Amino acid sequence: MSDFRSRDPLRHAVTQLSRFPGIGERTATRLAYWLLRQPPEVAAEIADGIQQLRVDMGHCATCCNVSGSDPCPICRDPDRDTGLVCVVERPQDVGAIENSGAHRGRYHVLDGAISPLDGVGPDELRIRELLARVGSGEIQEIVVATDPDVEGDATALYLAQVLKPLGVRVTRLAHGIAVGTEIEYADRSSVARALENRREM
Amino acid sequence: MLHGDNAQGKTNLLEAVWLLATLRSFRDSRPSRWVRQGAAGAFVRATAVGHTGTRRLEWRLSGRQRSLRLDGGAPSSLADWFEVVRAVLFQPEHVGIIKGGPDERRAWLDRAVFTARPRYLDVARDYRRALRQKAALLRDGRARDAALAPWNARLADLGARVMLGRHQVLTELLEPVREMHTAIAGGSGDAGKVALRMSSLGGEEEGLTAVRERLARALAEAQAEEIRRGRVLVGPHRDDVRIGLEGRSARLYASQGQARTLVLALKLAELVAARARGEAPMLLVDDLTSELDQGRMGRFIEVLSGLDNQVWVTTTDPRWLGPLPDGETVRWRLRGGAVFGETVRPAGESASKPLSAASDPVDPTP
Repeated sequence: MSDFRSRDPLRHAVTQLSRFPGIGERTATRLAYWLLRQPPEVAAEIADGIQQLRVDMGHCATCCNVSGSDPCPICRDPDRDTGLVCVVERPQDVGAIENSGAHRGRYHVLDGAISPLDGVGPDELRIRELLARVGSGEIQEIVVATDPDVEGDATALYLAQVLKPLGVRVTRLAHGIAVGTEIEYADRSSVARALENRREM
Repeated sequence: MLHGDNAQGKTNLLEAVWLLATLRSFRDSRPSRWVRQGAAGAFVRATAVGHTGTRRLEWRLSGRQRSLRLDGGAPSSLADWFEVVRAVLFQPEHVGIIKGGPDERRAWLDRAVFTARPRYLDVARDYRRALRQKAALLRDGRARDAALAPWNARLADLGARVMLGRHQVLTELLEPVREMHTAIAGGSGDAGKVALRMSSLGGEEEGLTAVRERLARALAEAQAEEIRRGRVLVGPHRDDVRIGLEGRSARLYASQGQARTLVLALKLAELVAARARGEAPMLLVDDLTSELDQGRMGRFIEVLSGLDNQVWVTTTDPRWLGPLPDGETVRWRLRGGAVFGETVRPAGESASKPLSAASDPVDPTP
């Protein structure tokens, strides 16, 4: 490794940078030259930030979200409704729902969706942990916010199937026309889904 | 009308139109094969005048990356794109819809449902996906009731939508098929009644809830057998379209000529059914050379002339087609991938004299 590096540091940096998703060789080269033009501490700070991410980040034992502390800040927050839990597929989905400001409960991160084609069954997801949380008695409602695709739908159905017998209310995030879209401009799938998910007034 | 010797690019041009209509090729499903050897990418650009107005379409493939431009910008959804160009395709091997296996009939009908209701594409794709997921689960050996239940629920819902979509479009096609079949077959004996129905649904109208429940029950009954055989045994992926001619199965009893006439009638019926929706898909006919006897060919061309749809026909020898409607026909000759011939004129203006071959047409009309 060290003799590889000594041969061509620029080449090595470009190879490493282009391992990021969405970064091709051209962008990686541009980034490498940009780093060379910066004061030396910039590269050190970036390298440190990346390294600490893996060292310091772990999982919250309660909600299974990635977190620098256990329990995570959301699970620790006393102002959150402990009876309401929103179930998502990925950690970044928590961010999306948090940004909406509309959810005052807690979360549970499944770490994926059921997909037998990828060898992922209920046992590979954090469903056991969710059942344990529900079993401890405080949760009244689970909002399933899995993706509106085949795997997300099947995961939601599976969750409803195992959660309902525990006496907890199970709801699903509505899908349909995006806010700010006038009905006449919405695409057919969204209109159809919105019609199917219509509510009593 | 596109004419020229074999391997001059006739079908290529047709394929480009089909690609814009469906984002698929009818020759090879692998996009990497659509690019000329040694080239980095490919593009198709077109101006389409249709029921959504004058639209500019551009399809581009570079590497594995496909990009679409509609009127110079990215289309907001695929549904918007598919709205612009609709097409119905006829190829000689489509005779397999009559004489081949159930998969060929399902493929035809699914394509017809998609042309009539573009949203069906999502339903059919999700159904196939759920089917593959459940099949993987069945093969996995961990298939227990609790794990299968969500997949069965998805398959019952999506499957019912597939079945209803097919049933509704087949019902819409029945009268037009009979009408078109009589028009092409003429008084030649087999002009009798054509019958169309799905093997899974009777003629009666059922609602989504009823079909979904029926499919869910069938899946539940088949569960043990499915686990034992490791395959999904019930659902519209095993369905068939029963096509009858004069009370007998066309698959078993239709002659080659009768089968060709029936396929053309099915394709033309899609155009007629589209008219009721206020749409006029294009008809793409690949290699119309020795498909029909002269009488049927003449009547086929006559029917085409009576429809309002744009028709693209390729042939090696225009004489086979007989006289084409004056003033409405544009003749292009293809040689070495290049197009020779008339420029497209607005309807009503008469076209210039044909470039070749058709100067000595054989009149096939009786």
